[in-house]
Amino acid sequence: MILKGRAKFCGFIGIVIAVIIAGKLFYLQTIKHEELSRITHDRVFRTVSQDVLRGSFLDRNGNVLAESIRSYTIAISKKYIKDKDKVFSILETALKGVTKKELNKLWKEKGNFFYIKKAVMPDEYEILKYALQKERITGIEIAPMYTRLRPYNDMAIDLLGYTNSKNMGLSGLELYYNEELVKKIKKKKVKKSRKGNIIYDATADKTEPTIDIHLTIDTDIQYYAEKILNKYTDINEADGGVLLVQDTKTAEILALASNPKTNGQAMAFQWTYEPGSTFKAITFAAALDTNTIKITDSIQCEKEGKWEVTPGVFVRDVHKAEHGYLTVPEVLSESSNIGAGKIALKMDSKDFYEYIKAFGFGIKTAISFPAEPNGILRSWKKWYKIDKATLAFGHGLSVTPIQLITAYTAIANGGTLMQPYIVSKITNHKGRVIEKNKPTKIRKVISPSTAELMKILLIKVVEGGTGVQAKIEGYSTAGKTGTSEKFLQGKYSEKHHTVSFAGFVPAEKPRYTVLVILDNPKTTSYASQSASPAFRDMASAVLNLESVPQDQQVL
Amino acid sequence: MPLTRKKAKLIIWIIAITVYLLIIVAERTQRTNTGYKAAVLQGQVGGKENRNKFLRYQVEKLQSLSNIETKANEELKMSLPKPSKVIILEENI
Repeated sequence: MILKGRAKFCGFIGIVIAVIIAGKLFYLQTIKHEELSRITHDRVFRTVSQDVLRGSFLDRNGNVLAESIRSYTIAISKKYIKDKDKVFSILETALKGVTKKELNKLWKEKGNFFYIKKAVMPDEYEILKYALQKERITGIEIAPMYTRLRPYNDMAIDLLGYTNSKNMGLSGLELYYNEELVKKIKKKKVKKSRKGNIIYDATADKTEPTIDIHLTIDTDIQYYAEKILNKYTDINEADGGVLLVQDTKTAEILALASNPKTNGQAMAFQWTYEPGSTFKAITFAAALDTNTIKITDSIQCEKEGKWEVTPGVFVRDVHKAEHGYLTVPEVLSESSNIGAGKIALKMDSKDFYEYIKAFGFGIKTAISFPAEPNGILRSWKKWYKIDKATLAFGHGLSVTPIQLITAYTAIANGGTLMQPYIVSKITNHKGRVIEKNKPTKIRKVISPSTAELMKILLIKVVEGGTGVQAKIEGYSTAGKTGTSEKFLQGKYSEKHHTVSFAGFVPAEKPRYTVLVILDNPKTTSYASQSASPAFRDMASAVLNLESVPQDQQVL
Repeated sequence: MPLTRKKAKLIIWIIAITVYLLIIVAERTQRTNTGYKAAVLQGQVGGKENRNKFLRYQVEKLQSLSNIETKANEELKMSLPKPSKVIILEENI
């Protein structure tokens, strides 16, 4: 009886315990399920950002122009430092530019946590890491960051632009191709050990590799472009300038230089100016192609060098026509504004406008660069007689340097306007090409015979006209000078000019088109004395670098 | 008390299950350790690659035209020849 009672009691206790356990399990499994799952998950897993290095920019020969590297920020957490002097000695030895004196000063001035050095490169980091591990130092905080390296320093920085320490492109091509270069940084889940160390998991390691962008720029040509532009900007005391080199056959941009050089602001693509007489080549090409003039024609260019276009409105020439008449080649080689204006007036306005448009003016070139302007070209319907006459010598419109050089390239390669481009290809992390730019014909602007005539006319400009200073010994050279008064405070200033020279070499079989622009030179207002020699130096350097054989005998 | 056949069977089962559980625990521990070592090695590889990249950058910096020209001008007193002084031989000659 007693036994039966005890058994019942034990059974009851057992049931109570079982009910309590079951209740607790129910509580943990259902009511506290989410909270406990989260705690467990947090203890086992860690979410980290994918460590993706930004893609690189390379030149046409594979030279790296900009690449990202993992660098480090070093900081001190005072309360964990046991032996201050020992730590300072290690830091002084490992980090360039860090001294004990400076560290002591920071120690006194700053709170518990302070930075010692940012963007520490791998060589210094390795030394520091080894020393810290060997001496079992605590209190040194090391955080990874990204640094953009440029082996050629600030070369082409106006084109490339810059990035921040978080891998983001802020200007120039870095901004334009930001998404492609960096991808979207995703979070990934990794397993961690009790101490917080990450445990390798092959399935979680799916970092999306970035791409590299290969530019059409040639670092050697770019080096000379920047050097020559700076030299002539200084010599002529100009406010600035632009230099562009384009491959005549493909319209690839081989070099572009801006002065002043600003991060991510390529003047060649973003700056607009009145082209002045370099635009006469466009007027002549249109007039010859529409048969408005023949190369044998003569134009009355006014003996006094002054032409009254409409009552009270005059166009003047710097070089007066001695006998009043100039032949068509002379109008161009002497850079007669009157002659060019009269030729333009002979043309149908709509035709003239259509030719200008066809050469690519008044519309973006779509060069893959942020904030490219259209330039200004008013509709022919709004032209007065004087507008048409002045347009003939590059006044009353604004163009970008890339538009002008591409138009000259069209003349040089038989009358076909090509699509200019700066990116030659995009490759993946394995070097496989995933996108490639090829030379693209946009349209036929003038006939090959007109282009050939234009070439002859432009050679004459260099052989015996305003462009003689652009002549390169041993090479046939074609081009045109341009001087325009700057439009300041609502009127054209006689004291402020933009001078330029656009041309191509070797003229007989053009390979390179070069454009030099100097903004507001103080020592001279003539392109023939400032931009022409800059063109000569640049074209010579390119011909030399590319080993182009001479096509003329040197006397 | 003699070991009955039934009891012996039970003990064998208990031992087998225990061994099986121990193997699983050992395997999981080993996997974690290997994963940890792999993560350390992966970090080291990343570090080495990063350092290589930095060394390549330094080489490229030294090879740049501006660096070579500066050294040629300043240390060797060399200068760029005029284009007319350069004879370029065509490839097919």
